[in-house]
Amino acid sequence: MNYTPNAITVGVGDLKITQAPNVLKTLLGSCIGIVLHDPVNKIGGLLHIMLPKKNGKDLKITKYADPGLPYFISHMVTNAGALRGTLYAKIFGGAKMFETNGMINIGESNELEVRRILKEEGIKIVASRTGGTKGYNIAFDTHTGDVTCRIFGEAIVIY
Amino acid sequence: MRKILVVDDAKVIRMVIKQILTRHGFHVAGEAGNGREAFERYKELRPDAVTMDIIMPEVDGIQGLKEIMAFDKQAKVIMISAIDQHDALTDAIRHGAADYVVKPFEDDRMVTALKNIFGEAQS
Amino acid sequence: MDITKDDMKVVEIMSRLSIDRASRALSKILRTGAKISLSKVYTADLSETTAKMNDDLREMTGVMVSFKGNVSCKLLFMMPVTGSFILTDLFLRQPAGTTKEYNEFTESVTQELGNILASHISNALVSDFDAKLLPQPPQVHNDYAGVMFSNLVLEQGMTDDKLLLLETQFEICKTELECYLFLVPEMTSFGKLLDNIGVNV
Repeated sequence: MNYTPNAITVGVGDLKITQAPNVLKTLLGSCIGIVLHDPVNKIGGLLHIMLPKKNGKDLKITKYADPGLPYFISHMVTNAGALRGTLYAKIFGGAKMFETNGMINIGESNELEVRRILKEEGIKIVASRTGGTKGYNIAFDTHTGDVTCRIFGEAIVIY
Repeated sequence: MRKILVVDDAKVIRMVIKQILTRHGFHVAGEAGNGREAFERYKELRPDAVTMDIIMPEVDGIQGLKEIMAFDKQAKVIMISAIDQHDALTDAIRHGAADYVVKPFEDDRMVTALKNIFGEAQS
Repeated sequence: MDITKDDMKVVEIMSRLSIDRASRALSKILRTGAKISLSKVYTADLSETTAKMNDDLREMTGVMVSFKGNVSCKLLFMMPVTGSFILTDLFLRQPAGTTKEYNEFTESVTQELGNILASHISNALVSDFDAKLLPQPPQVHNDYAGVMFSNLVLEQGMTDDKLLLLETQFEICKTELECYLFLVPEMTSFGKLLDNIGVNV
């Protein structure tokens, strides 16, 4: 993948919102990357969640689908100026890579929670690629809404 | 020729141990990748001795040792592990291990351990 | 948990001693000079560190080991996939260049090296610092460097926004091999170890 000068990397448990022509990119294992796009204003965001639900401790909320994803949606609209009605989502990741103590299906749980929240919020998932056992390298073009996805060892696919 | 069962979750270690033992006149009758497989193979092959790793998936080497010793009190099991800790060592000895070799080891150390348990060590 | 400068010094000493032990074991098993030295111990923000690592798209072979006991910790030993060929040849005493592709032997050698490193690190912490610590079976995985790293810190990231990280430098005599060894102790675990040796945190 070529790095463009306006590529912004999103770390684990982080949220970045930007506008065209910027590209948002991240790597995903069992985490889920959710992109939201307003195709009219060319505003896009990428949330990289690692767990389904916040467990009550005073930690960064963007690590969790709940409440990170509702926060992401409201931030897109209220702070970044996206039009709520135009928003659509694409989701990636949720691989099962290593057997982790007591968290065997974390990727799957993350995906289920993300799908539940997006449904509840009335935001359509127009493309997704989830599961498997290998990492995802994704780059989200906030101008076109295209997500270039390369799973380790596989060919590049554009969603 | 003495029959040996080699137990380790790493295929290359089984291969290396097999090469050393073969070179020193032992016959590797079988291999296993964890404690459960080791017990199954032990019942089936009735080897003269077992080399047993400790940290293995599903059923570890200490559990494998316990099951083999419960089945055959005369079993000769040598633990071969990178774990060099008092608790692991005493656990192994308490459950009947005949010797304990720490990885990485020199070839002679393992061969001597086996010869010792068969009373074949040269002075 | 906040870690003071003084605590960090003690953590550095513990880490150096245990990494030295692992280094000696590695030299012995590879029958060549292998030197692992601690390059830094630091606390870092989860998102910032993983964002930096996310730019690393090299294809790596890695082995992850979790430790269980009264302290908890995770280890990642990784190298570019071609690097595992060099280690396989050294491990199996084959002429350099014999291994030309990733196969069951390279996977198994990587697994065993992870086991040796993790075991000897835990041996040092148990004997010198009164810890109770046993490595779990190693898991080998091939993936992007950044994905491997994120997986390493995932569990720590579930309980804290900060990470305690130990990074090492790795040299294997007569090779150009680039290897990386990371240790991520659970922050509260290191507090327990410091308690064991009478250093209050």
